[in-house]
Parts: sequence; structure tokens; C-alpha cells
Amino acid sequence: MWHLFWHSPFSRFLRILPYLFLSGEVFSQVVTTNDYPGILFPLEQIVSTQTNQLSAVQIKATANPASISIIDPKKPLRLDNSLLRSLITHTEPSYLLLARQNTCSFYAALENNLLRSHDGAARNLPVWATAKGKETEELFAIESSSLLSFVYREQCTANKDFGSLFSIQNLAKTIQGFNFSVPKTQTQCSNIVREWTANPYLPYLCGIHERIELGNRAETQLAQTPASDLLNRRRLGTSIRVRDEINSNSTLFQRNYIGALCQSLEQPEKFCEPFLTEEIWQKVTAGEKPAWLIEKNCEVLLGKSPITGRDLITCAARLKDNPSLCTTLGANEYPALFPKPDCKEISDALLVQKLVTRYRDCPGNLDNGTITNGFRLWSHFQNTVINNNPNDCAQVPALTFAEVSLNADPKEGWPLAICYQNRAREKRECLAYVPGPHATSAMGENNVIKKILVDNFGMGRDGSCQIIRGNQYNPSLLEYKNGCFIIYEDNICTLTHCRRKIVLNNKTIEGLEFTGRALFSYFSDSIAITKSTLQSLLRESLKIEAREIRNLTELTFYLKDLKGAIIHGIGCAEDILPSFFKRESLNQCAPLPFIVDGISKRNNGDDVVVRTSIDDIHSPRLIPWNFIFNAVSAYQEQHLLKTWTLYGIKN
Amino acid sequence: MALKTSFYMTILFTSMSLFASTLPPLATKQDSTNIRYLTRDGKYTYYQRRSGDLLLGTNFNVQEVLKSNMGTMYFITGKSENKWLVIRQVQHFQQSLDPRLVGKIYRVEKGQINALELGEGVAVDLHSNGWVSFYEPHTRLITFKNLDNPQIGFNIQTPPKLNPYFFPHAVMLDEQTVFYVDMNEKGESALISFNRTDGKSKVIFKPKGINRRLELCQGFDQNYLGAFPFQQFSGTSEIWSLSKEKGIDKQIYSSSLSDMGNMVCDHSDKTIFFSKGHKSGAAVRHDIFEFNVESGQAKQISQLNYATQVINHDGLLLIPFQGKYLVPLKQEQSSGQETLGTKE
Repeated sequence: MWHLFWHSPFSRFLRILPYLFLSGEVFSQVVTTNDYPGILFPLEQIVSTQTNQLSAVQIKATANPASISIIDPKKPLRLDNSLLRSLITHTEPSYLLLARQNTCSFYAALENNLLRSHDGAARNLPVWATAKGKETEELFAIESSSLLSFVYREQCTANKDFGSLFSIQNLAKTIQGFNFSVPKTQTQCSNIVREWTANPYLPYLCGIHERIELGNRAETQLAQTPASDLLNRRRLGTSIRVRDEINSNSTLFQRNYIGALCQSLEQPEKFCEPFLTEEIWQKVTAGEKPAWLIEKNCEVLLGKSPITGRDLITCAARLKDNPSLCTTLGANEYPALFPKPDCKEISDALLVQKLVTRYRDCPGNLDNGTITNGFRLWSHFQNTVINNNPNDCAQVPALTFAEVSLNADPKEGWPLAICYQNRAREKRECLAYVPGPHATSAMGENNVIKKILVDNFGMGRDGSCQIIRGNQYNPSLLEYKNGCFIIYEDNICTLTHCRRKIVLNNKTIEGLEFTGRALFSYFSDSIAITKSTLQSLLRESLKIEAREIRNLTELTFYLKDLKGAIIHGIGCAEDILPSFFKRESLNQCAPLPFIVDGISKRNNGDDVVVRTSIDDIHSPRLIPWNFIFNAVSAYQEQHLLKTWTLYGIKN
Repeated sequence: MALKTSFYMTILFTSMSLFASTLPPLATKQDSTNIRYLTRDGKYTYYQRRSGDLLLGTNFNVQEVLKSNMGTMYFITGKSENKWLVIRQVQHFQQSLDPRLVGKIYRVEKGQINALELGEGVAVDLHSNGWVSFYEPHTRLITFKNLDNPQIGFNIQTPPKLNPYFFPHAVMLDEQTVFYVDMNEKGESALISFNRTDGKSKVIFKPKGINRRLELCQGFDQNYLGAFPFQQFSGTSEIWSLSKEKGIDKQIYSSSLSDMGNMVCDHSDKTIFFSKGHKSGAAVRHDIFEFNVESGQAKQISQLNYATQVINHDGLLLIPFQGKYLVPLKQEQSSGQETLGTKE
């Protein structure tokens, strides 16, 4: 509730109350043009009187413009009280606190446009000063930049250097020099805020934050500004460009940290909360945990990609407030086991997980967990970043697997092929393919079919084949009259189960046969169809070391002490996910690959973070270690070589 | 009503001295991991070889039932009171790791070797009236076959599902009426009644929310519906009795803890065995409980903390645990007459 109150006009009034007391004007009850209303007057009236007074002073001052050269530097110089009052009322409390630290902080805040009067950042300032050769002080209007360069000649000389350190050219290096400590306790956090508040660089860091915010606002305004309003468009464009330059010279963590700090100096608890809370959502928005942990879910939730830092904050708040959102998020676009864990379970898992998941896959469209797990393991060790979509989310893992497997065994590494009668050579030929679309890969289904159609069915070389769903295809529409279409007739197409129709210029193409089954051995067995198993492919392509994991102690050591190390294996689905798979007969087992990459503090500390190969990659589950142990033990009994199938891997 | 009230008041979670932490394992003369079906009297043992063959062992005699390639796996469903066994033959068991991997479905008479192919699918349900049903996940078709006359059968076409790994299960109330649980494109589960005469389906129960796994259970002329949470550690659990006329008849059990379910209803009359959640400090653990439908009492029969499944194997209740099968309730096991000489 407090945060709602905090933004109300009355709360604002309460917060400026101490400053009004200090101004000695609180108990004034008579409003005249020269006098000031006390606190018993409505806030609107106080603000209105302030504004009138300042406007009157500004008109007077503007009539007496001054260049710095005519001001006597030996005589005192002060800002008009009406401006100070206005600054107290309109400046963010956090920045007021910053400006009150000392004189130099005040000028630094002014320099970075942190101080606000009724008409925004204070630029043309009413200043009382004495002209050279005169004895009495006069009211002048002086540009804030001129005033600052005048002041910095005599005092706060370091501020000049600070300004240059925070220029765009030096920003990246300067920010890198700061230690953005992540607090672990409330005391530690309060100390961090106190130290930052006293730091003379802070007004400049907050200036950076304000320029980012200005750029964000400008982006929204630009969309509503008519094309004919060139002047405003140029101004907004400049703000956006500055923001983009800052963004490219800083990390999301740095920006979020600075933003949270600058907005919370008066309320350290607001800054501390995300760091001290045990939920992933705040930790990501505070920059303590990487954004990619929740980014993909947020893209689905907000229906946009890529998402901005502000989108991330909006999304994190929604996921925190409505835990059941996660159970269905992305289930339509990226088929996987459903329902998914709720946001609370996902949060607990993401807090302790290690797997790098900077992509999206869709296990429901792949019918071999060896491929899904293999892709996830490669992506972890290679830190792969892929911006995939629902159309290619199965294709990317399969293509990755095919390429690695063909590299190890060029002849038989990948079993899926499209066979056809080559009319020119008068013989049946088969071309290896990976189901799904790909822009460039020669193995992409669209590209293989195009090659066959070009060579045998008179398709033009400049055309392309488009893969679409059966319910999208409507031959009566003009857009489907010409060109090549591969129509998936099933609602879920997997590697080996997919009914297709191929249409070229409105004519169904016959004679293409999709052959082969995606059969691969995960661990060594005596019936491997390809030369390599996934285990051997991982070993050769990633140079990883593997070690058998037999108990929770070994698992804990492996995950906690070895950087980047994770655990993978195969167990019976009936034991890993007993809520989903019921065992009906003796020795029944549906082998299911999985990855374990963390240990949760939940329950008695024996829950592990698991992603089975049928789970959504961004929805890890917390599963008792004993379920995993039961599952691997049961699978071992059914394995042809009675192999124990739980291994830690690291490179 | 009285039953319901008494249940709410008197549900017992008795820590019985009948069980020990270590229940005896299933005793077999040959490697139990190869056994696929063992009759309670020990006379017939169906087991598989590494080579991919399924064999029937009787006293000092071994016969081949099905032949296949190395890497083929067999799973056999049977009921003690039913003469038919249903075999699911899964090829490429270790090379195609997907729960949707379909197997060929065969029927064989207990103690016999003449297996007859019925179709392909997963999720085999053997019904008390001598029918079998199974599901093909790619076509989403539930196939029903009469085991005495496999040419008699019918299909139910189900809609696309949000969970590609959801398999509908069914119970047959009689030869014309089927209750089955299904999921739709929105991920909602429902209990559906199918009338074979008019070929129409009707939703008779739809739980609120998506965190509810519906599970059917049949035995001793009774049918039950369980609703258990998908989320392993949150959600409530309920069991209702079903009737052909009313659909949901009455609630016989409810718990605020998240049970696993995985019910067995055909082992003892008026008794449902299932995996139930119980508190152990701050954590929820799972053990097998024996729930008496009439008294409403639930009695713990294992003390394993991680027992999530229970099966009825030809009248012998077994708890799978760490790759072994444990025998609760001091049940008498067969005298171990199953066939010898199965070494390869």
C-alpha cells in the first residue's frame, strides 16, 4: 500500500514539509504576491503561488540578461529563493537528498538536470550577483551552463573532470571502474546505499539514468509526433540516439543497478528489496541475475521480441504477482509437457540453476529426447545464442545434431532423407534433410525440396519453398496460386511423424518419399545404429570430461564446486514424473533424458533442478533427488548393458 | 452422506508396525528385470531376452512367443481374473527416447504363445469385461478391441491436445458405455462418456483449472475417478465413485495434500491403493496407502518416503522402488516355480 501513497500529492507535500520548515515560511497564513502560503493551504495553492512567484522573478531577471564576464567573482552569488522553493517542490526526493549532501553535489545535480523547477530542468536561472564595478547585488538571468563554468572556476573544480569522465566517449571505461556490489543482507545493503549517496560521482551516474529515461520517453513521443513537425522529431531523435549510445556502452545490470539506486536514495529498502528477496524476478530486474533467464518467457508473455529493459520489469512484476501464468506460458507456440511448473517453482529453480539457455526449443515437435538433450548440452557449453521462433524451434536442435553427427560420420551420421527419381540421371536418389525451414542450410527441408523441384519439376532457381500449416493453406487465395508450398497436415509434426503435401504452382507434387527414422544411442549400447553415441559426440565436439554420479553427495560436489559443470542422464519417466506417467506393468519404463543443473534449498534441501527432454527449456522443475535416483536405477535394470546412466560433465 | 462425514472425521494415517522400512523384494528364480509377466501361482513366466525375443517359460519348458530385433522391449498388461494378456512390443527402445513411441499391441492367452496383433499404440487399458483399449498419439485415436473376438471393436477420435504427452485412459462400464479422460487444445481435462450405440461423447465432469490430473480406476465392478495435482507439491486431491447413470456418484476421499494417485482398484474389494502425500517435517513425502472405500480410512503400507507408483501384477501388489519391486502387506509370493534355464 505504501508505494501507492508515496506517489500521491499529499505524500509529496509531506516529504517537502521539512524543506518548507527550513525556509521559515510554514506558518505564513496570508497570501500576497510577495508572501508564501503555509502548510495549512492546499498543495495546489502552494505550488501555484510558487509558480507565479518564480515566473514573476524570471520575467524580471530575463530583462537583465548577463554574461558571466560582467559578474564580479569576488562578490557572493546566490540563486533566487523562488527558484529554490520550486526546486524543492518539483525535484525527485531522491535527487533532493543527493543535492543536499554538499555544495558540489548541488551543482553536480544541477549540471546533470536532476533538479527540476515547475517547467522542467532548470536552465535559465534567476541569480542574485554583483556586476563588476558595482556595490549592490542585482537579479540576473544566467544560463545554467554559464553559471556552472563560473562556479567551477572557484569551487568544485573536480566536477569539471567528472563531467568529462561521463561523456559518451569515456562512459564504458568509467562505468567499468565502479564496483556495483550486490548486497546479501539488509545491513550490508543500507551501508551500500549510504556509501553511494556520499559518492561525488553519483549525480553523474544518475544523470546517465535520466538520459536513458528521457530517451525512452522520446521514443514513445516520436511515434505520436507528426512527420511535418521536423523540429520536435529532430529533438526526440537526439534523445533516442543518446540513450542508445549509453545502452551500447553499459550492461543491463549496470543500467538497472544505477536506475534502482538513483530512484531509491531516500528509501534504501526499495533498492535493497530485489537483492534480498528470494525470487528470480526481482533479481533479474535488479541485474543480479542475467536477463536471459526469464527473457524468452517474457517475450511470449508480452508478445514481442526483442524486449526492452522496461518490458522486462513489467513482465517480471506480472510473473511474480500471478504464479499460475507460468503453467501455460508458451504452451501453444512451443509444444512441451503440460502443464508447466508455476512461477514460484520456476523462480526457485532459476535461482540455483546453471544451464545456459539463451534460445528456445520445442520438444513436442521432436520425437527423440537424445536430439533435444544433445542440443541443450551443446548450447550450454558453447554459450549459444539463438533467436528462434515457433517455426524453427525444432529444426535448430535437429540441424545442430545432424551437423555434429555428420561431422563424426559423414556417411551415416544422419538417417533422414528425401528420396526421388532423378529424371536426368534416371535413377533414384536420396538427399539428407532436416525437417523444418532454414534460411541458409542446404539440409533445411525447404532447401532440399527446392533443389529437387528445380532439378526435376521445372521450378525456377530464384523461387523458394515455404513451409506452412495445413490450416493456413488456402489454394483459393491468390498468394497460394504460384510458388512452392510444403504443407504440414498434422497439428504437431515431429521428425518422423508428419504428413506433408508439396504443392508447386497449385499442382501437387508426387513421388517424393521421406525416409529414415531418427534413431540414436545416447549412451553406449550394443546396437548403436550410427557410429557415434551422443556421449561420444559430446566428448569429441566439446572435449568434455564425464564422471559417473551415484549419490546426492557426488551430485552436490559436482554442481557446486565445478564451474559450468552440469549433470545429464536417462531415467524412467514413470519415476521422474510420476504425476504425469503411471506405471501399469512390471518393468515398464519410458526412457527419458534429462539435465540436472542445481540443488534447491526447498523441502529438506534434496530437490534438484531438472529439465527432462520433454520439458520446456525455460520451465525447469524441482524434483526430489530420490525420484531421479529411482528413475536411473529402474532404467539401468532395463538397459541392454545394464549401464548406469547419470553423468556429470564439464569442459 | 454418512460415509462422507465419517470419512472427513476419521481419516487415519496410521503408522502401522506391519510394514518395515525395508519391504521384501519380489522373489524370482531368474533375473527379475527380464520378467514381463509372472502368474501368481508361478506356473507361467513371460520374459524377454536381450536379443529382442519374448519367451514363455513353464516348468522346465521354454517357448518363443514373439521374435524381434535386439533392443526391442516388451511390456505385458494382465489381470488375475482375466485369461488374456496384452503385450506391447516396443522397438528401438533405447534409440528413440520419446514417451510417444508406439509399440505393436498383441493379445495372448495366459500360458499360451499364440500372439495376435491388434494394432499400434501406447497407454494400454485392460478392461474387466474382456476388452482392451489403447491410444495412438499421432492420430489421437483410442482403439477398443474385444479380446475374445478382436474383429469386434470401435474407435474414439479425440481432439488435439495442448500436452503432446497426454494419453487418454478409459474404463468400459459395459459393452456400450465408455468413460474416458481426455484433454483439449486449451489444456483442460475432462471426464467424458461415450455411447457406442449413437457414437456420441458427452462431457460429464470438468475440474476447475488446469492443475488437475484425472485418473480412472476399475475393479470389483466399481469405477472411480481421481483428481490429483500435476504440480507435485501443491494442490488438493480427490477421489469419487462413478456410476453409469449419474456419472460422478459421490466423493469418497479428499486431501489438502498433493497425492500422486496412480491408483490400483482391482487388488482387494472396496480398497484403493495409491501414492499419497504425507508431511515429513516441512517436506511432503509420498508413500503407498490402502484406502478403505467404506470406512474412509487410509492406512500407510510403505515407509519409503518416495514411493510414487504401485501396480497389481496378477493379484500381487508391488511397489516399484529404486529399480526393484517390493512386496507390501506380507503378501504370499509364488513358490518360485517359474521357468529355469533362461541364460542366454
